[in-house]
Amino acid sequence: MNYSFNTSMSFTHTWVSLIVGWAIFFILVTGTLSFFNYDITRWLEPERPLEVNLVQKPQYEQLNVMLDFLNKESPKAKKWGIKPPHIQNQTPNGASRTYIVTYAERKSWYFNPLTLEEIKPVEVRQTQGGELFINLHHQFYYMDKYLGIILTGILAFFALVVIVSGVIIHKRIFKDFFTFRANRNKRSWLDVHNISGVLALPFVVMILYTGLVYYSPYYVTIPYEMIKEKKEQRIEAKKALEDNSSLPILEKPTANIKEMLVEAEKKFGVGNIAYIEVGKNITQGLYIDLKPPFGSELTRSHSADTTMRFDGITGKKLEIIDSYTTGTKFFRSLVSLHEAWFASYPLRWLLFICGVMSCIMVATGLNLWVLKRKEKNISFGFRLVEKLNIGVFIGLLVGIAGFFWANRLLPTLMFERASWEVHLLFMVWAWMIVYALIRPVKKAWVESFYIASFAFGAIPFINFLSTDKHLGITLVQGDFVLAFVDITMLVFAFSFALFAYRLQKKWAINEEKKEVIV
Amino acid sequence: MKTNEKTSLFLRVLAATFGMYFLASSITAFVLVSLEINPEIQEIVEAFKIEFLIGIAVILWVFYTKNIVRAWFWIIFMTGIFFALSFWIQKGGVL
Repeated sequence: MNYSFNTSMSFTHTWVSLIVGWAIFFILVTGTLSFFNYDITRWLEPERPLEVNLVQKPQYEQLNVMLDFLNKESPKAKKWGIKPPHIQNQTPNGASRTYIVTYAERKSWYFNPLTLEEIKPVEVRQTQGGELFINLHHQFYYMDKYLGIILTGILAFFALVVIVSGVIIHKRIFKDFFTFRANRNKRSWLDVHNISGVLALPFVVMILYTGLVYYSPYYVTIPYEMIKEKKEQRIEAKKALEDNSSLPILEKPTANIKEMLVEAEKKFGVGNIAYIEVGKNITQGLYIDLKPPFGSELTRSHSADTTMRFDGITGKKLEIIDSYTTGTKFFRSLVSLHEAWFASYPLRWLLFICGVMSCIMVATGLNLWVLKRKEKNISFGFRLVEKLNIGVFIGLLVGIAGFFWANRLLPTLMFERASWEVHLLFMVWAWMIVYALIRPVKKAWVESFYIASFAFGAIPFINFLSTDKHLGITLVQGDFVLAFVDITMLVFAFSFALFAYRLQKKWAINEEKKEVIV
Repeated sequence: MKTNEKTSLFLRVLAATFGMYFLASSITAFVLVSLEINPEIQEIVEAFKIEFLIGIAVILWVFYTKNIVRAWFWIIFMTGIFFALSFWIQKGGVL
């Protein structure tokens, strides 16, 4: 065995990364896409209206009508919730950006913000939407949900080991930051691996670590089982103290809602009240909570920073007595870091770029494994890794493009349409793996990249042919969020084509050189 | 690889998977159970998920250490000690 610290870290880094590399690439790609899952959902459901030029009645009018409705419809609820439309609201179906949504007793109703009449939201094609990428990201597919969660957890943990060992062997972090020796094959690939790794390092460590905290009791069960009993006892004791079961009837608050809104807007900003909750508890009686939109705060916690509570009868300000504990807030901060709850669009794009760089880091790393062994032992394992690299990495990207194609091209009334979109993702990916296995390696690289370029580049065009939410409309009307999905596809298509062209040229030159020498 | 190296590698991989899992679990269990006296702090330390940090350290050590058989004795010994202490504290003993 290797006795020097550096060689043992190098050994660990090489072989553990070989085990987890492909699956981690899958998790990273789907995770990077998940940063924009609401916007991808909007693109995948083109029947929804564009989100520009929203005209709505003043908020206190909206609230009065909503509270009347809830009073009539569901007086026995424990809590009423009202979500006025706000551009930062993020629900899977995007409804709360263009409609008023009210919640009570696990039901929801939608209202037109201008006429304040109840409406049914637009019927959209059956699709899993951007949520698919979140589910693929932490549960994989075609397997039991909990098995997927445990597998992704184990893989993420070993990825952390790879990162730590990688940082240890990469001693000259700052000097290598500025080193890129082009056109020197192995050395250049190592430099790309190092640069993308170093640039994305804080992001990757943060993402891996915060990703692990979600479901850690599922994988490391023993410590949590040991403290579970006492924990549940404490929760039961706390619940017994606040027994609200004797207060089932909610009434419409009689205090002046307009004044409450003005007071809350002083703290959260004009037009920034995005969630209103009416409830009742033993100590405070009827109360109204006013909250700013999703993502305004790191923890999305229920506390004095993020909520303003008023008495429902007198209109006085009240304290938040049921705020989250510090431990819960800390946990939610970690979750919020992982899901970027707090991130506005510019920051989200930065995180997206970091995600892409970490995908490049994983792919170049596995490619390096192949390059380092190319001249030495050509075993079955080596050949398998060499070909699978192409199929898995580029194939996954083509598969995702295939999913977007399927969303536009599958008939809307098809049975089990949502599942078939995902089946197509995996079918295209499987085909790309087969393609990589049967083609000679160099040709497979170039052709797979050209296929990926075509697959992504055609998406805006298919969009244009099959829907009315294509670039021609979205750019003109100003719905840039939707437009950017198409534009990103074009950017990726262009990058893949450029890369394939350069690879092709470089290998053609090398072939010529070989012929001249011979 | 010679047989000696093969068994060494096998034992290291075994230590990096099962040994790591139980050692990290035992240390975390000990820390969390001994914080039972202050539930707020326990929640915060729980959210830190130290089992992963300990696990990484154990894996790196297992591949660096010269004598894996001696390392295995240490792993079994430490796991035993920490689990014993955790159960002792959980059943109401005082350290």
